Amino acid sequence: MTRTVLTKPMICEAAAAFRMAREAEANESLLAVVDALGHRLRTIPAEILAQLSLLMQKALDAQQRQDLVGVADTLEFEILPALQAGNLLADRSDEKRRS
Amino acid sequence: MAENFAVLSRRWPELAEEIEKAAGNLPPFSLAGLTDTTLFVDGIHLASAYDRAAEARLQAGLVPEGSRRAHVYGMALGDIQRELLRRSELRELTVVILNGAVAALSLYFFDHRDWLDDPRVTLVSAGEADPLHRPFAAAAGALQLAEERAARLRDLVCLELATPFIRKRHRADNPHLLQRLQANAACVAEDGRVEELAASLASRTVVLAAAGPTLSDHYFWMKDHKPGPIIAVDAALKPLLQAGIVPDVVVSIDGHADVFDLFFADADLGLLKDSALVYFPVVQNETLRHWPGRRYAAWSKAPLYAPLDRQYRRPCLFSAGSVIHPAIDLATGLSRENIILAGADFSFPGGLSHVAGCRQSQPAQGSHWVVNGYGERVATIPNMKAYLRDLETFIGTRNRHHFFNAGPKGARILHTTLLTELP
Repeated sequence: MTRTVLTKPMICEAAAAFRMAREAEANESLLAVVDALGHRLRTIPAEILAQLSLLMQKALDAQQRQDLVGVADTLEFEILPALQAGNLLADRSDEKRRS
Repeated sequence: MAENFAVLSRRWPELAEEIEKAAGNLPPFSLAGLTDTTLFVDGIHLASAYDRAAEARLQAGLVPEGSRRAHVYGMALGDIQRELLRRSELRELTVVILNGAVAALSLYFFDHRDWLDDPRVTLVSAGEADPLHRPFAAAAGALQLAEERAARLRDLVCLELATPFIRKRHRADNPHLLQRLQANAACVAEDGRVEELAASLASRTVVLAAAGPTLSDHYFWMKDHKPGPIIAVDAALKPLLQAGIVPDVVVSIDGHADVFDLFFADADLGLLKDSALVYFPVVQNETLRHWPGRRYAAWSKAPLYAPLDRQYRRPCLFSAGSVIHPAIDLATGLSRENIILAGADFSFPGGLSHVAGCRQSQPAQGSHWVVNGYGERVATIPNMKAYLRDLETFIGTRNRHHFFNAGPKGARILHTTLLTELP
């Protein structure tokens, strides 16, 4: 099932999978984050979108060179705070309503 | 730091020498960090640049509470070791260095004396044939920076870490596969058992033809000096037939919808009327209907096949995701002494994915690597590494046979000898 809702646990779980070197699972989780972000594109203010685009590219570049910890750090300590600051994360009640 | 090396030299003098020697050939590196300091080596963070302690707690969590012994794969910055050594019940901690040069850098820039001097710790460097010890924790950054002689151990660790996820993906109740079992039930009921093949094909030497790019390097002796029956994986069938080589057995186990079209549809199947097809019952029914020769149904221990196993009660073939696994198990049943693996590359030598003539053959660039028969890195993908390591584990349990790897350009395969002359 494709999750279109971005939540903090989703991002933290993706970061954890990278730190635990569970590569296939981590890559799938990262794709889900990218997908969920893609679904929100039209609602993201331009200045936050520019920042998020750079951070997502940073994460994807780290993924490309197999820098698992690099991806995890970018997800957990850069992308997550940016999403929280932009109020772009759904809480669990939003997620339950949609599923 | 000199103090680190003082402890190292006192406790493990040979290892200290090894690491000092490795320090003569350092990869590109820098110190990096935002709220924490880490090493950035060859584009890889050795540990978190934000919160090393939290990361180490997560990674150490793989070792169950109460464990008296554990291994840590990757020395990294020592954080996992420190986390585990806090546990009073832990009696032995073996730390395995996966890259001597990275260890040298870490020892130079970071203080490791606290855990290095703990009497419970043994520090070793990875060996090519090391088994995987459990329970373990692993430093993700160190795994990615493993050097050649640690490559196999790195792959075993990664495979173990990936196993729960892989198992979730391969469920016994896949409706598509259950449908295939039903569609092929009549064939399974009337077809032979693989044990019957030994009556006609048992031989001193058996050749296993996989579909790697280097298979074509061996056509000349497979055709003109064939040392024994040839078992081919399905993807190697058309290339072999095009080269004028008719395999004695073809093995096909995949339930994908395109296998018949890719490997069988436009092959000259008439050439195979005296050849045997060994199949798993999830294959397309077209493959079974079009096969001109004898057919033999087999299966693995996967839960999907449990009902068949209960019904027919026959030995299962080894399988761990690749058709080469049941093929080699079959080979051990037919061979009295030697098994030659040809085209078992598990990598992309020459930048190709498969042997020329295979429909799947295409230029390939893997982001991962294994070591080839020359000791060089050759590109591959994670799946292939997993298949390789599972194959090695299988071969390691078969002491009655002598396994040969026909060529050095593909992955080096543990427990095999490079073929220099036909047995």
